[in-house]
Amino acid sequence: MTAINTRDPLPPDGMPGCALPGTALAGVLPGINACVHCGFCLQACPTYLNLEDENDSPRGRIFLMRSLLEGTISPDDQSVHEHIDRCLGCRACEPVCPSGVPYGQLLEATRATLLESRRIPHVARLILAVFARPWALRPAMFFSRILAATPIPTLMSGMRGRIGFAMAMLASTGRSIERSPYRASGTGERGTVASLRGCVMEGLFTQTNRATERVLTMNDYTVVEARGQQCCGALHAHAGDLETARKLARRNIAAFDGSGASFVAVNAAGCGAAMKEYGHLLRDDAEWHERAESFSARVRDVSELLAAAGPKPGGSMPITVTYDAPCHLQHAQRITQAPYAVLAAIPGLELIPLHDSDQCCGSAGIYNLIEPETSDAVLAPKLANIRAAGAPFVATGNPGCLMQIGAGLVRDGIGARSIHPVDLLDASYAALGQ
Amino acid sequence: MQKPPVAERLADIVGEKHVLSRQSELLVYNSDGLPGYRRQPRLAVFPGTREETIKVVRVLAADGLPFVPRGAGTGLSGGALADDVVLLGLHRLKKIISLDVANMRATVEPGVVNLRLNRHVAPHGLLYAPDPSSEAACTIGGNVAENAGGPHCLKYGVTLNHVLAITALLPDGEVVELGSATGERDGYDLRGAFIGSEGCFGVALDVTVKLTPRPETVRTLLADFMSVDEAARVTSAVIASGIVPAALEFMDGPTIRVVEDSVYAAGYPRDAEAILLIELDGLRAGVDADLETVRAICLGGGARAVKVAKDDAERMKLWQGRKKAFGAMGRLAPHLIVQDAVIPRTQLPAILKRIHAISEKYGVVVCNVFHAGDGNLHPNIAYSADDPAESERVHKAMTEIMTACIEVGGSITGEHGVGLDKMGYMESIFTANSLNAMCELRGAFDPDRRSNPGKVVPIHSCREWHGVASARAPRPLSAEPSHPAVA
Amino acid sequence: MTTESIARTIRDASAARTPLRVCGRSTWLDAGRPVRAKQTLSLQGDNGVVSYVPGDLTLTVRAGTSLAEIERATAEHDQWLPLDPYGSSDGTIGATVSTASAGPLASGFGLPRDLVLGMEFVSGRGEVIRCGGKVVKNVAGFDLTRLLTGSWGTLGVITEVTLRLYARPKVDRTFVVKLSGNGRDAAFLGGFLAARLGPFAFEVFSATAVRLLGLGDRAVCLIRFGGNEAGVAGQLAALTALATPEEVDANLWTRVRQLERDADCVIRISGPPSAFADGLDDILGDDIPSTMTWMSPVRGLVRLVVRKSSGPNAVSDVIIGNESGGDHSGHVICEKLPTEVWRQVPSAVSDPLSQRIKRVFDSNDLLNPGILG
Repeated sequence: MTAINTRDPLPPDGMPGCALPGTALAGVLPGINACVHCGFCLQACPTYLNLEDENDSPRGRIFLMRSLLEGTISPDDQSVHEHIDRCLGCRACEPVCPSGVPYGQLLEATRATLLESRRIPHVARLILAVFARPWALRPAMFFSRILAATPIPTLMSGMRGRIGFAMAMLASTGRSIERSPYRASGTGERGTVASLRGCVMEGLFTQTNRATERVLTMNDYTVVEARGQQCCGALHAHAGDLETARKLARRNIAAFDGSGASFVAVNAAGCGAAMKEYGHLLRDDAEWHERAESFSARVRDVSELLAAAGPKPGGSMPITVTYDAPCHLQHAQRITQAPYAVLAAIPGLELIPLHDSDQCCGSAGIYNLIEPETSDAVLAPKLANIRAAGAPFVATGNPGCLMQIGAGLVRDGIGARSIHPVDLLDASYAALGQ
Repeated sequence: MQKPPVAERLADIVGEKHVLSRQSELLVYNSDGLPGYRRQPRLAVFPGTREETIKVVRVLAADGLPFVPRGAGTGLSGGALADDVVLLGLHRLKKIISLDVANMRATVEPGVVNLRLNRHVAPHGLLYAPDPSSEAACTIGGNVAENAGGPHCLKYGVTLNHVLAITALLPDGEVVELGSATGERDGYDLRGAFIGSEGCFGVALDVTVKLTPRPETVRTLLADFMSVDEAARVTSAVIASGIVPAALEFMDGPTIRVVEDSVYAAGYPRDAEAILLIELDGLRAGVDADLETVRAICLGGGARAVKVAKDDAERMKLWQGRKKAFGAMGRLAPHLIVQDAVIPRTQLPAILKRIHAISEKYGVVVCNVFHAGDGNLHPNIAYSADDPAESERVHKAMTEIMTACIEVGGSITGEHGVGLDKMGYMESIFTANSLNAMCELRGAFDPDRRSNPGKVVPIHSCREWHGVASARAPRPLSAEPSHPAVA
Repeated sequence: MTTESIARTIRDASAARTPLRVCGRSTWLDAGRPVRAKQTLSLQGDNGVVSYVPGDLTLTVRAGTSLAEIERATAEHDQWLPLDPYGSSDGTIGATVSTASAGPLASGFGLPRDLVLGMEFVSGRGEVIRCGGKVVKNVAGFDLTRLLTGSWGTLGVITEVTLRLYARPKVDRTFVVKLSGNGRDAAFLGGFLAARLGPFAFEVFSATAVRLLGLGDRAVCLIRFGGNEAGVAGQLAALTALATPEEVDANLWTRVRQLERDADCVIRISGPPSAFADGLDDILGDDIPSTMTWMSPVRGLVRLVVRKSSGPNAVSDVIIGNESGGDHSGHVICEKLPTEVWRQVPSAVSDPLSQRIKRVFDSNDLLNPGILG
């Protein structure tokens, strides 16, 4: 039989009569062409399952993208914006796609292209602007942190709508796990690690960042600092603001390269996924592309680094935990087992399986603030499953999920709190000395 | 007083957000699993309950409007395309109504996804046997419409053999019980006639299916060959031996390699020219004995190696590679043609040789991945539809392959259905009388031919409609590409 | 006899408005309602194998071919058609498929609808129609094959049938398990079904039937296992864990098929298998002389046979007794009844849809008029 040659990808704008030549969307045509319309993605998609319209499914959105390029839909058609906006970007469709459609990239390119014909909604624009500016972010987070430390968010979390939910999110960040201070030590022989502090993590989950540094040290990594690092740009890329995302990416690459660390440790799944794709983000940047590729190759989720090291068992901690898999960890980074390895290092910890753990919680970056209705519909079954599991702790390794689930738990009065697996391991190490 | 527009009346029944009438929102419903065909519906309506469905169909009947029922849109024959008529999506009817473990049956709404039903019954040691490769997405209603098959139909039979009863909503709004959920009954086998009617007889409101006990033992064997011919001969030999494997699947070299490049890489040997995936199930003692027989047939027939999956995880991996092979073809080229011919099983070696010769003659690459045990071929050709010369060669090659299959006494479709795609071949396997009889049977269910118009039987085969049809001067069939491009 | 000559006969009858009684070898003419036809269309002479490729495990025969002929042709290649309707193997395949008749093997291999791949028939208008095909999997066109199967010749005269064959099992053994009648039988039945051993056949007989079979005077189960040696040994071991089986000669099944030879009332009562398991003691305890009861638990079917000696009242009692029988949610299917009793039984094809279908294929009510009511 004749040997088969995988066809060369079509050149950008390779579609005859492309309606949007030169756009980011035209650039991802080969990815769009890879879709054979088999529909295997439908049942993996949280918005399709909730909204029951193929316009809100991966296959449907890819069809919309194709239609934009074919010119059968105009980029200022309101309904296209609606359906593209409603995508959570959870990428649950990617691991089930036999054809390997890079859906996340297609989505970002589409959002970037659509952005030209319309502005990002006010709320989103404000949030993104703050995140891209350290001078604005620090006070914002400081204010949030102060607020989180007061009873105000809890009091206001009962309010309806976005404000109520935002307050519930803040309220949830104030709830972690008690642990006594301990001195982390290790041989450092596993190599140097610089960790991404991140914007939300450093702002609202400061102690998780410190815990990350301690547990890495305990597992024989040498933790160094990467000065000048910024927001990873994931939220901007998801929203289609690729220019800002690229700007932030270049700054981060420079900062981490400067630190000389062998690994970039990330404890926020969404950030990790974005940073592992810097190579793709900067593919057309002749000066930075190669550097970005090699940077991306060094990025690790903290659970990967810990699992590679064992991790070392901690002190006994008789608690019951259930685990929720963040989309950007399991789908975007294809990491499913490492978080379990982290939890398994805690003696006495009882793990209760969470039904549909692999389903999206509806957080999706800032989605819960701009598409509250859909986000809520996606969150509802997650909360029901957590209630059924009956564990007081829900471990999940992404700030968005921590806050989304945490807020739902606060609002619905479910007696459980969301927590980063690293915080649990840290508490277990703290228990070693006692 | 004038009636309000139909979209408004439908929205009153199902809610505004479940009626689509904006052109830009209807675009995604232009295609099913075979996007080489595109037809734009005029309107789409998605009822959420049985009662809503009945009301919707009665509104359409009152206005004499044709409609096309659609499940998950994973069909591979263009069967769920609505050409400027109403698209009736049944995917929101996804309740599992009842499960009777003692009597091994379940009643489900038509929008229930095949795999979800299987997950639902698995804790009780049961399974729903028909397992089309699209099981993760396709609906039971769609399975009934197409009489869907799947790898395990070799031993367990197709949808037809597993449906006990259907509550059908006829296109005029009448609700009828077909078959019986409580036991065998007499009278005409209306359930048998309805299954595989491709949406032309109405829609199912609920379906009662027979469940099958999970076998005590399942053994999956992977045999690889350096020649397609040897694998084909081994297939025929296994069938002739009288052993009925649960499944006997064939994948050729190009297919193996495309799967191995995908997320469903199953560990198939990349350098093999063909593999057979053979599954045996039943009671442990009997299965082990058959396994040895099959292994001997494989090795005696030239297999390079025979590997038996050591656990369930490895078994699932071998199967995932097979089941997602079709989707993985998207990696080869932007367009794909899929066929579904069935041939007598002794003809397998000869037909595969013929396909090879045809592919060389036209300079195209055919990927063969199919249900060998049933003789159900799926020749696929990946190509670029943007190249007119290549397209023409590909279409000619496929027509020749189909003709070869018909010549040896085969059928044009084993499980995908006729739909829009294979209508052009109907006259080559059925006489005018037979086609007319099918037309008239349809007339008994749907006298106005409003449900899924223009599918399965070419309209010019219906004597009664001949005059009307020619007066209306429909698009001649030859205007359809005989093989569409799957983009 | 050819299809064309059959078609001509039907066209002539149609022109003359002469209703036809369609039959094969006329061995089962006492089944079904009385037919209002004076002229007979017999397919007896239209027999023989049309094509048989053993490697394909499919067989095409003319409708007048007897089951015995099929058995002989296939046995040469160690294959069989696992279809054993009550009566004898002298019956034709055309009649078997037309009436959708099946016997004990249906528990393991399904009903005629599961074994027929395609056919040729002549409609009431005298048109020759081919449907289905000769391959084991086929969804081309609407399924006329299923529609004709079990239509009792009222939609068309089947002239040719393509069937799915199976390889004869290396081992084929039959066992009898005597039931205790003391309330533990339901547990055995439940246990046997739950063990999911996949028997070829599994029938439970009441005492009256057992006496006729010469197996004693208590209710028994007959179980048929087939497959390779190790497999059947495994099945037997599992059965032995539940009961004390005794092996019997497989010829017993031939006697089972002939049990109803001189019956004038045969009805089937179908329902969910669990309903019968629950009512097992009642069903088997219903030991009326001259009335035999046996059941196929896998199919959810009880067969009631009243022998001729018992007189018409017994028949009426059985029918009426069963129709008013409590919460039974299944169906009563009558095969043979005395003429006067048939009038009490509603037709199964009186619904508008069935009537429309009948009009499509036999608008002049020419074929077997009245046989389905």
